[in-house]
Amino acid sequence: MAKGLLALALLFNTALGWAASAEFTVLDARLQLQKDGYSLSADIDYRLPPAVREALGNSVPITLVVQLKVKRERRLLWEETVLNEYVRYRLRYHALSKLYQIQQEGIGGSRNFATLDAAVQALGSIRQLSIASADRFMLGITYKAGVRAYLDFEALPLPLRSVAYLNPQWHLDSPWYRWNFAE
Amino acid sequence: MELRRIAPPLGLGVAAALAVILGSLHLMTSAMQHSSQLSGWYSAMVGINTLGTLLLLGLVGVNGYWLYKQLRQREAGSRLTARMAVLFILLTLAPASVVFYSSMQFLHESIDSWFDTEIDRAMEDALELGQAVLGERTRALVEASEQIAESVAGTPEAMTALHLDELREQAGATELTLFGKQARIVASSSMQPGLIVPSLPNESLLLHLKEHQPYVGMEPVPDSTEPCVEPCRKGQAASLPNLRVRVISRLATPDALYLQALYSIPPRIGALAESVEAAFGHYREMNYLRGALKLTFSLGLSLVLLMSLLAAIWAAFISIRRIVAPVRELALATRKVADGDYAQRLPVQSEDELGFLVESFNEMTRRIALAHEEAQRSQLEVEHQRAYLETILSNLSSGVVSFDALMRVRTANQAANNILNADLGACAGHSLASLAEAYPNLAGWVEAVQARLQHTKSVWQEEIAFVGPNGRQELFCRGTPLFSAWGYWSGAVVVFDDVTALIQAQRTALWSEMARRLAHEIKNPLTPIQLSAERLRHKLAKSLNEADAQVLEKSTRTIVQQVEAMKTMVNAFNDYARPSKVQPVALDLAELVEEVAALYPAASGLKIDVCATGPLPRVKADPVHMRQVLHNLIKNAQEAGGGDEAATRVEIALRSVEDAPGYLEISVRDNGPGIAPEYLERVFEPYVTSKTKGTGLGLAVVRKIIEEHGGGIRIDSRYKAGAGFIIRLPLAEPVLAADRRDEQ
Repeated sequence: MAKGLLALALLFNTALGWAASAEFTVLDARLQLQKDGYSLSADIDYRLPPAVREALGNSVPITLVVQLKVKRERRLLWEETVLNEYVRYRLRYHALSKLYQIQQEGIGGSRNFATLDAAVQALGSIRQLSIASADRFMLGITYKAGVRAYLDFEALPLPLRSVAYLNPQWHLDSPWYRWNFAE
Repeated sequence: MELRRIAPPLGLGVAAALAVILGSLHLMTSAMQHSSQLSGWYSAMVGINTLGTLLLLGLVGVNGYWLYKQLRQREAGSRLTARMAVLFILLTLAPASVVFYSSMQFLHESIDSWFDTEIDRAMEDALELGQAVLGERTRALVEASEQIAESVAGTPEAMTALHLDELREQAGATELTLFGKQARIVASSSMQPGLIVPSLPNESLLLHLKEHQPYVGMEPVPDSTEPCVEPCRKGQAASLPNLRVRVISRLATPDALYLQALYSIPPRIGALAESVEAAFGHYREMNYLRGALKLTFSLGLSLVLLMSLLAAIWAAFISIRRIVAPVRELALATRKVADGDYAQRLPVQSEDELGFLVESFNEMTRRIALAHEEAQRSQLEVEHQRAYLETILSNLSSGVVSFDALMRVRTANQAANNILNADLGACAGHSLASLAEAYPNLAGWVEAVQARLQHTKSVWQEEIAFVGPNGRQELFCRGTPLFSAWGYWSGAVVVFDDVTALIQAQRTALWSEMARRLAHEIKNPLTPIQLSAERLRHKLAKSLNEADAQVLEKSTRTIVQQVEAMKTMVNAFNDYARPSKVQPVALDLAELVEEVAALYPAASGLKIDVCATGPLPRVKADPVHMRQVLHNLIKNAQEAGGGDEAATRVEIALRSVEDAPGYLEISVRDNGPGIAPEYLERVFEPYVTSKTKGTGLGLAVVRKIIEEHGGGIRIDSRYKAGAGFIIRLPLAEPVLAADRRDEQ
């Protein structure tokens, strides 16, 4: 009975806090043409709520996703999505070495940090991340780009998901950071 | 508003949807049990299942609401549906609840049993042991690093790069890097010749270095594959080191220079430590997620239970409705049949017992309809027969009265009413006795008929006389018994004819014939007798002596006198027998009675009392004949008095009567000895008399005259103080009884 009430209260909280739970903010983002194609640089402010920190401290890995979407406006037609890329970072605590590990999925290797804050800060500054080949964008056309960061729910351990559904602290999703760019 | 019912084809789609939902439930539970590929779909499945639950809930709700409405409107079959639904829900709920409760208990206990304080401690200890082992190693490595740092600090910066390889090999490090501020690399040496960029510490480590000296830390090797999350199996000891120790020491030089040494932990130890770490991490994660795990499993279980319950209830609703539908239609159709609509035919939708029931119902209604039609036809036929019979009966001159087994009047035709002067139709269902009470003058007829009905159970006929409102009536009655289909006596039909006029006519004809003969056979010889006697007297009177002449004179006078008397008598007969010519006028009878009474003064020894109640209507009568009637009756009383004239009193009363509205009643009563019972029947016939004097024609003439006037005369049987006669004469202007009552 008490559990049910708690769940209800949480659900209520969720309903209220759903929109207001934007704990992540994209402060700045830009696409730059490099020699080998386009690279993304972004500054993201990740503020992890206590619940997430606690879970991390208990060896629960979390996955943070940075999504980049580039659209092209067309006359008399809907916008065309030119690019939709997801960059996924896995953050976990290594109990033996007492370090926090960041690993970008699809790329080998990991970075180790003594504190969680350091790891999060490192995650928040993306520099020169190769994202698309140079021929993806045409000259003289204005593109709309948007970046957002969010916590991937589906990557959470399954038992945690049921709890996370009901806890607004786990609904971490930044608003879109939008800008126009043209080559 | 009629809620749409789920049609069978849609049911198929719904069954498919149910299968999908059940499938996703299965997948969801599988996802919960194994961290497999399915776990990525977990949220979608939970969503689908929640939606499915809501859909089912909606369906059940709609069905429940529909049932509630049906119950409110008291529609046929709704109660049965409700009862079955409740029963079904209870039957489903009880075992499901038991299973659910025990499953939950089992689940919670199982999950709790995974975790134990001893295991907790063992895990902690294992990790600590690992850390201690590695700590020992790192302390030695730190010392080695310190020595390298000291030797590097002693050498100039330019020479350092050359010595670094040597120093690295001495210390057994995999990588040695000398760097300054802003991670400016001064010199570097690595075991891997291909490595161009050494693995420099990140900013946070550098910050850490400013505060703590030296830095030492163990870390997973970045280039190695991702550490196993699950404990590594035996023999999976990686050939490559997967753990390394990073030691950073500050050199004792004026400009801030750091020496970083990376040492790899031997693969076997690394593997073991990593295995301990992975197991510990997993165990800790599980321990942390214990509540969530319980919640997840409970949620899954609850979803499964809820969905199966809802699906069962919904299926119950649909199947119950299918079962009840024919029953409901049957109930509705039965109600219509009860209301008289026999054209009910229901479609047979199944081959089971219900189908058989519907078929039987259709057969039954068909037969009922046939029977009803037949009955209607018969009824119509009976009605026709009855009308036909009634027409015949009402046009019959004979009276027909039927009686039931309890001798109550059943039917009577118009002729019977006319003959008996009574409304027998109003007496239908009443006994003969009550008929006699309602019409006292019918008492005689009623008694005779009742006696016949009681004692004669075969065909009978009898002439029954009774005194009606118009005087004595002769009825010729024939009785026929009625028998039921089972042969029991169930009543009788009495047919009667008024033969009064016939008998009267016969008698009159007889008397007329007799009078004619008397005139012919007696009156004719009288004249010669008279003439002969007179001639004898005339011839012999002179030739005889005195004495003989006297005898002759006396005898011839006697002969002539007697002949005269005979002539008078024969004439009187003639008068009676010949039909008289009546000339009726509107006559004030009271006045006439007064006149006649005045002719008998008190000196005559006769006292006449005239009593007329109220203003009386005029009658239609011949005054001359009426005078004769009154004289005859008064004379009759006078002569009955037996010469004791002083005591003779005659009372003449006139009045209107209720039971005969078109007539005026005159009663003539005397204080004589009355009429002997043997004469009662035939007192109005000629020569029926108890008197010594008179012709015996007085009362016969009176009756003849009264009957010629369309009236009637009878003996007042209730009057016992002498002879009493009651005459009824028709009124000049017939009036309604009601008007008369108003006048009174």
